[in-house]
Amino acid sequence: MWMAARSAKKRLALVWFLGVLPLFAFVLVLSLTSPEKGARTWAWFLPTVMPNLSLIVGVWVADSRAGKADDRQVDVFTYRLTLGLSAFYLCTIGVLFLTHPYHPQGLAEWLRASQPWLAALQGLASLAMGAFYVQREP
Amino acid sequence: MVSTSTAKLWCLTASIALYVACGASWAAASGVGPVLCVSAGQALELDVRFHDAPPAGIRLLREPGGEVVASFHGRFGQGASPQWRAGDGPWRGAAGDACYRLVALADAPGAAPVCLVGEGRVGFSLRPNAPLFATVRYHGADIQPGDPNCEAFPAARDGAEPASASPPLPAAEVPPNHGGFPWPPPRPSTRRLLARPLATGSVAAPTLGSVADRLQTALEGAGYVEYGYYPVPGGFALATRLERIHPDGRAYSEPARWQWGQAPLTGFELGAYLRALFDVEQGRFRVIVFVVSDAPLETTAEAPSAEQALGWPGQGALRLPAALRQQAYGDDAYTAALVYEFESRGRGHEASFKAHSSLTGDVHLRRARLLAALE
Repeated sequence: MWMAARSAKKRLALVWFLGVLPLFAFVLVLSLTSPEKGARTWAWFLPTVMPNLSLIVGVWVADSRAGKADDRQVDVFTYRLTLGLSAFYLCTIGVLFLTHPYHPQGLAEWLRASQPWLAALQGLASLAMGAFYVQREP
Repeated sequence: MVSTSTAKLWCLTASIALYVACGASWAAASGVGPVLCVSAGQALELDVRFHDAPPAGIRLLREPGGEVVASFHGRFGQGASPQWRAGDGPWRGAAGDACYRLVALADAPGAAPVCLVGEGRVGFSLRPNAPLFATVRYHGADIQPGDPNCEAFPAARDGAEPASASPPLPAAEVPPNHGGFPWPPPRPSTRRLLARPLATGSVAAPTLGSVADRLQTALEGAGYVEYGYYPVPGGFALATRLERIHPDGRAYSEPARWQWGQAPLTGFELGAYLRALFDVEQGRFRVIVFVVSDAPLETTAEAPSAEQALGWPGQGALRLPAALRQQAYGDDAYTAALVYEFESRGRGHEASFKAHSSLTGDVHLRRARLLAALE
């Protein structure tokens, strides 16, 4: 099954930007209430989401510079997989933030402990996004 | 045929994956430690105590050669060495003329283990000025002098060893007062002189022993079952364990009362959850030190650290020695309570000494249920 690339890209960008927004707001408020902990959380949070956001924005800029609308078709399965992995990844970050009060060693240690498996998840989401953006119509 | 833009996107994706993979490799391992030499006919004995199951372990290596003789793992309190598990008691090696190196291995990001050597013991911490993660008491061996890997235990650092790490002292033994509770004492957050009848009760000819018994009964009644005695000029000092308190001076209920650092949430209450979520929860901690003496009580300007205060009950004696017990509690004698308060902001933050308590010493003692027990 195929669908319009333009619409798929928009939805994916929407999921990422709307997903990152509350996470960003959380870290921002944390920086105000606890500057030291906020700074450490920024250092963890930015590398966690910025590469994927940069990819989305980069593709969007490239499309704009091309000067014509993207009328390609993309594979629905690839699109759904990318969307699902992205949503799951962002939800996982949200859950990490929301559950830190129950972790005995505090937010910084909680985030640090999650780094290895979260990095694997981020890798999967990034690869799926790469596959989604470079796929061609047969 | 792959277009240029497609190739660029693949490169970008691969770079992200590489970046992510590199970011994940945070674990570090390194080791330092002193050399212990066992004389002929003697056997090395090690009593290894880990504090709070750290991501670190200790190995005993034969020198020279580096052959692993024993391993002690801090995580989960399990010992990997054959015949040895944490809590089993001292580890004993075979008798012989040999040298060994005690090495700390840390598996934590940014860890750079350091060791401190003292009389009969070695302490390890994950990084300079951090609390000790393990203490090793050794017998039957001598530390090779001039080991460049280790520093000597400074007096202030002695307090970094948690109370649970100290082996029980024989009942009648009082250690010399060095490295434990300092004298003159550091300045307290607040203090309270107890009226004489509160300290002596109805005893006609009170002694230090009878006062100690009275204080001890009051402490145990209020839940302070860990305390340490220190001989001081003209009498003794009695230090309680560091406890977590509410802003009004009441102690937390157990086990949070004795939990060092900010306690994690165990249930859901919206206000508490939001405070913890945004790290605005403050932690307050208290140590009460009773000084019973007839010598003038002067305090230094030095502020004690929470790490020091943590070690006070564990490094003192369990009971007042007989020699001190018989000493009369004369007309010049007094009993003063020095209250040391510490506060931390959020979990993971170090607690700092609170120079001026928001409560009076009287309120502290009353809310600790000690005044009621003495009255």
